Amino acid sequence: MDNAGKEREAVQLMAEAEKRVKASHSFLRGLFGGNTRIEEACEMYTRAANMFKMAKNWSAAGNAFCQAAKLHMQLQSKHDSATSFVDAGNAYKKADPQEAINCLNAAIDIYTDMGRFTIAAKHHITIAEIYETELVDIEKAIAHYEQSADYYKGEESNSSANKCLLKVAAYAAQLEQYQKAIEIYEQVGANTMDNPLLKYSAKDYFFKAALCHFIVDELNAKLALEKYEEMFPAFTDSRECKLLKKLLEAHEEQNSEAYTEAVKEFDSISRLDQWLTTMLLRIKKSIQGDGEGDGDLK
Amino acid sequence: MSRDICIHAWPCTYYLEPERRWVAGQLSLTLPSLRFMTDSTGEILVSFPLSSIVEIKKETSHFIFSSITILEKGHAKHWFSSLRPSRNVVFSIIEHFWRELLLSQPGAVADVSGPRTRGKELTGLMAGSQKRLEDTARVLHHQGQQLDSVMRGLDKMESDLEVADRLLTELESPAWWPFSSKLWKTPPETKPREGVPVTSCEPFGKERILIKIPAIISHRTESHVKPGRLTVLVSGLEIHDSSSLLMHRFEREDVDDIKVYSPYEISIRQRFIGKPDMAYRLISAKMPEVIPILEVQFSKKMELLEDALVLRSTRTSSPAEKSCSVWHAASGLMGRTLHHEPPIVDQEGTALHLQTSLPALSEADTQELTQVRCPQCHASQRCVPVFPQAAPLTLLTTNKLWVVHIGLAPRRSCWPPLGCCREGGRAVSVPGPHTSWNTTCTTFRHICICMHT
Repeated sequence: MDNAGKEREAVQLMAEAEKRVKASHSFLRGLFGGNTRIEEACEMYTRAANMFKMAKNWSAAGNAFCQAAKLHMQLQSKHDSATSFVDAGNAYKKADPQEAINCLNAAIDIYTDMGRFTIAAKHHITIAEIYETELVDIEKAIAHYEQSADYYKGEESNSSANKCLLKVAAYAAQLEQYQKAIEIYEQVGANTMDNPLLKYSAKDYFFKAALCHFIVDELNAKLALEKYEEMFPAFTDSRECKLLKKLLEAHEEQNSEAYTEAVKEFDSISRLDQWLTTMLLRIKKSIQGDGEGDGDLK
Repeated sequence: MSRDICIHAWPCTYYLEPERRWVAGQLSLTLPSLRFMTDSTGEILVSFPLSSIVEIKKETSHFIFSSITILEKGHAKHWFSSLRPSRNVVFSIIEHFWRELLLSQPGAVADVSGPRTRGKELTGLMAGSQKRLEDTARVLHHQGQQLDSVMRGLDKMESDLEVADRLLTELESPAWWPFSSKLWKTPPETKPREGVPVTSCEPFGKERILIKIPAIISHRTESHVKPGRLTVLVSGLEIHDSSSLLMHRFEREDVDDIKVYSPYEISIRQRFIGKPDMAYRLISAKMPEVIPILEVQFSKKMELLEDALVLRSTRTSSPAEKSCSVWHAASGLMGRTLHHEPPIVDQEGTALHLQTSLPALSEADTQELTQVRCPQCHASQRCVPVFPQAAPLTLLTTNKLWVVHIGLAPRRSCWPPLGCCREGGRAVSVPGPHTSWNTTCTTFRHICICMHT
């Protein structure tokens, strides 16, 4: 009941704001204090947007924020405009993902123009997440993650950049763009292995890179594994490396039982996540290729 | 054995993407595949083999309805909602059969290995906690970097505030005041810098010249360019024309920003209220030598632009080095032009070995450096340059007691005593006779070694 009241009030505010903007366009107004009118309108739009938010009318709230952002732009206050666009994006996210992306893109344009690349990168991640969960357009999500990683790198925030790149790599591998995934994992692994805090996760990246190699070609995986062991001696002792060696052996012998046994043993100690499961399944399929192929084709 | 036996079926709804609506039906799981059949027509809408599943997730549609999403190879995402008896049950069953594809043998006997042994359980625990710690380290590192960038932001704000403060003092001084605004209100900067004995500054004086380079100068607009000279003093910057006439002098605190366009080009600017800015643009082949010094003197006011960012990216290639300043990159450039210097021998003829793989100092620099007395102990001294790319530096001392000061060259007065590193390096003890010490000198430009008897 209360919400409906809020919404009505918000609609009134919107109408009022619109009137003010129109009034500011008239010639005389334009000469005297047109800007204050627009400023008032701006404030009204924001208030209306907040009321729509309370009433959970997300797309109306997004629209109101968008109007406010455009007026801010007219008033040359870029920062306020960008903030409003972000607010609009957040509101739209719950109702109309595509519109949310448009708003966030507008905000990003403003931020990059101002040289605030860290914030722009953050919003690129938000867009990528929307593509990932709402619209399921993984290719676009990857593009945005990559853009974000580039911006972060330019600003020297390597750990944020790596985070984005790892996402890219995981998706690239799922999309069977293994070369890209391998490059990223190797690069991140090499970056992190010298860092006292991060060296413990380096083995993970090398493991994943080697797995991607494995799917492409067994021999490549062998060579890569040797290279990683040379680069990062601690990798040799890790469970991941041992598993890889067992898998390579099983694959060479085309022994699907040994393969499964090795995976099972690894899984009994630490549960495989979904990405690993997918990748290991793909390798397993290449072993079973001839014998079990028919069953899968059904 | 038939593989098509329905393992389980759940009533649920499926989202039809093209029609944007939910259809009720039944989700059934067989050993090789998963399929969805509508209630109304009995038509099979979806059917895909389990092995083509890429990801199974629990998600909520429209932020309210719990559902399961299955990502299929080729990136089709399937939404299943209103699952009965409950989402979690369906999720764990589907996930179980999917994982079993990987973990079980086709047609093999059931697992007879029995329950997990205590040892295995412990290993599992350990592996789990290791994983968590790895994640923690990653987050910690991430936060560290965030703090770093906050620091950078604060530095920039502070420098902007300084400029604002200067302009305000200028505005506050009455119009009839004929002198510079600084005299009207004594700025607080006159107090000595923390931790530095005032006396230590005296031997050099404020007017000491740090470096002098020929440069091509343009004032404000780029149209008139003339040759001249840039002098970096402790107290400021001087720009002379070709006949050595002083064109302009920037006091140190007057400089509002220095933009580095490329390793060879900078501009220096002082802002004014009500009149045009005082700006000079300088190009010089020797600029790479000056940039590191300016970096130290005007750290907060330096700004790297497009081309100069290349410097920054080459700098980051050495992971050991974390402190952010241009001169690291610039000194790399410098290093290439330098040649090797013979081992340093002090007055008494005691040999001092510096085992380092670094490029040594140019002759002019050495001269400049050796003229200076040690600010800490006023003893005669040798300065040895340490470049950021330094490998661990070993210093072997003989007979005499050596005191080692580490610091940035142009600001000798700020050197910390006795090898305590100021910028986050490792503290070293005072090396006595026949001792050696190791330190990774990544953040220090020069080491000054003073002889104490």
